Amino acid sequence: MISVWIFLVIGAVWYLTFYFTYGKFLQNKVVGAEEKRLTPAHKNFDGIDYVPANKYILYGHHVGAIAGTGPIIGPTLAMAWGWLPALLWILIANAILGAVHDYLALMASVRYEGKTIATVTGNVISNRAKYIFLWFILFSLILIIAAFIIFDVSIFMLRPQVATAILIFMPIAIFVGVLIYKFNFALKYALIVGLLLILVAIWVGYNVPLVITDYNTWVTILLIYGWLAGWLPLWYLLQPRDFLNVYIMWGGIILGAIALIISFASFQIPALTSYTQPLVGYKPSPIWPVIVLVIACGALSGFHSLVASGLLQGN
Amino acid sequence: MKVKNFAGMIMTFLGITFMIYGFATAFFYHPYKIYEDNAIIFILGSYLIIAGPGFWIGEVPKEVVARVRKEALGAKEEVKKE
Repeated sequence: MISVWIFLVIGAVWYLTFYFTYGKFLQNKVVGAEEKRLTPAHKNFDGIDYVPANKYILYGHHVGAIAGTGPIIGPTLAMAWGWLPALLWILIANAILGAVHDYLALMASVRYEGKTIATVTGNVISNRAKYIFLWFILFSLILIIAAFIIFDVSIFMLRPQVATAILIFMPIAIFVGVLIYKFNFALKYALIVGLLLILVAIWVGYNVPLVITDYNTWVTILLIYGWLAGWLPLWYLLQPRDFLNVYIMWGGIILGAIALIISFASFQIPALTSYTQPLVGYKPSPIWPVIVLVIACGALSGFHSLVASGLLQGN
Repeated sequence: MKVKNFAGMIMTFLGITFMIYGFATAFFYHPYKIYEDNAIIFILGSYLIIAGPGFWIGEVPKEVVARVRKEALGAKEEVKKE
């Protein structure tokens, strides 16, 4: 049996190689990125949506926004085909397509004064393309919001402890944002304070679950939260929320990796079960091209261009 | 103090009160659970705490805006010179 940690090492080497070769090529030859160039966050500073951010906060904001539930659900579903197709698709598509797509969408937006990817499309192609793209974005966002709300409501109803922890976590995120931007707190101290408070929130959540048994009440609550989060300034809620989230996520990944190495665990499922599994709509779904739809955020997702050009470009 | 700053303070105060109330009910009415209506009050409190400080202290001060703009314009001039 093959130990999983070997693939962990192969994955790390693979990503580092692409980061330092293909990534550098894109940065220097394709985009021509220079530190001296002013970003829209500096040019259009308004204290609300355009606020320059520290690079670690920026990293956390982007990763936190794109690596939510999607990269967990997708690969888990894809395990129905066995572990090999998911692993290959994530490694190849992530390094060659997904990361390139996110980076280029962000840089295109930055070059066009921080406008959304639809406006960039209008400038590069035509006005008609812009409006078609805007309608497409509207419908795809409705679909994405609906999918994530259904998933989140299921979690909150199944594990009410999570709801308490998250509701306490939101004011903590705002508190950390205010510490950094209003009181000029050093980032590392703000991070330590935030993470300690989150641990307390998780502990409280485990001991005092928040129980609402009506499905539609939860849907309404989450829709109101979505509106609130979109309405408030980026630096105030979304940025510190994602920034703190990503450190929790990294903590989980690192602990998981350590556990894999120590335990010498091996794969519990076959590398390939069958080319066709009843995965989408309980109908036979061939690995190709269905894997592209099943593992989206974990490998390549067009939604990330909206995150890059709608959230990140102003920071 | 502007009206919206004051409204933000009130919202924050109500938010803290609602959250504490909702949390406290877990120990009085339904042992160790924030339950149904009390859960909604807890959530309302959380939302008020999210939105309230935004009206109260959410704006970056004008002098900070001016300083950053000046720094940005200065940097822009340097880029132009090169």
